[in-house]
Amino acid sequence: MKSIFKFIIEPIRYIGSRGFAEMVVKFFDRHEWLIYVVAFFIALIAVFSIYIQPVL
Amino acid sequence: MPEWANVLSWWTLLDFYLIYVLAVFVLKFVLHNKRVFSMFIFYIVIIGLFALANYFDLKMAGNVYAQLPIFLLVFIIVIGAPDFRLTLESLWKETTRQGTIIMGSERTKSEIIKAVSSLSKHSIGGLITIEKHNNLDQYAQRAITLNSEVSQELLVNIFTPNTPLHDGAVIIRGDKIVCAGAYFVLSSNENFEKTTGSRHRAALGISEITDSLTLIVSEETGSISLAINGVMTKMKDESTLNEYLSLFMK
Repeated sequence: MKSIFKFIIEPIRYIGSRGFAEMVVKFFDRHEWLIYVVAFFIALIAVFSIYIQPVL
Repeated sequence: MPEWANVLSWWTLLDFYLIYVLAVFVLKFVLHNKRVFSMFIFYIVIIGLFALANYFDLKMAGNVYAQLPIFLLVFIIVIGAPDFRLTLESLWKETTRQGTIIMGSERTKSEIIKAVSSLSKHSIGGLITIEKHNNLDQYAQRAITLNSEVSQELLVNIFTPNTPLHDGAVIIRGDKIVCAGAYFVLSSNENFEKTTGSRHRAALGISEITDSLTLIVSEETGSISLAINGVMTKMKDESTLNEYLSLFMK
């Protein structure tokens, strides 16, 4: 029972944990150019959801 | 031609570009500091749960989560203020690099070494910051301006206890002592011992946010340390200090 309750919340806890944050920050520190790629896709998703998706 | 292609125009491209620029800035800010990133993720998770509750039209969760983002934003800004400041200062470090730098001469270097050795011998606390690419004017403006030649006698005199300038740091640019009595933001790095004094923490603080080199003389032990890029190293002897300074000042 205890593990079921823990299992539900654990993925969210892991994402918010310092270890995960450190891993992501270090990764983007090494590959800074990927920030531009991620930003490009964010902008692309925004354009898709605002302009294209309503007319589909 | 598909129907969705009709809604796209040059204005859509401009819209895309503006969002792209904003996303780059936000990502650079968020991905610069692990604690800021943790807070950002926490906020995104809450927004995601709110979107989920909205999508499935969950009345109770929808109402609760609808109130959360704005309170959470204020909460995060208050709690994360020191980290936001550190991140901004760290980003500032990369953007305020001066094209040309003035490094001190051999004479200046030897005067600094002699002064530090003298302070160490008499167990007098001292904090000397040597500027490199990042301009330290914002700290110098709040300190006592000197603009005088670097000399052992002057440096020792500045740090002599019970004198008006002995508290705070001396900033050196090239062959000049720009100011004395400068105060830096203390480092909150948890990897250092809790007993690390405020002089050492100030040195670490300035080394984390600028590319300067700071020499610290401990009041308690008389030991000489050097802080650069957020790392503190204890100097064994004068020759080690000379090596470090030569590498930094070349």
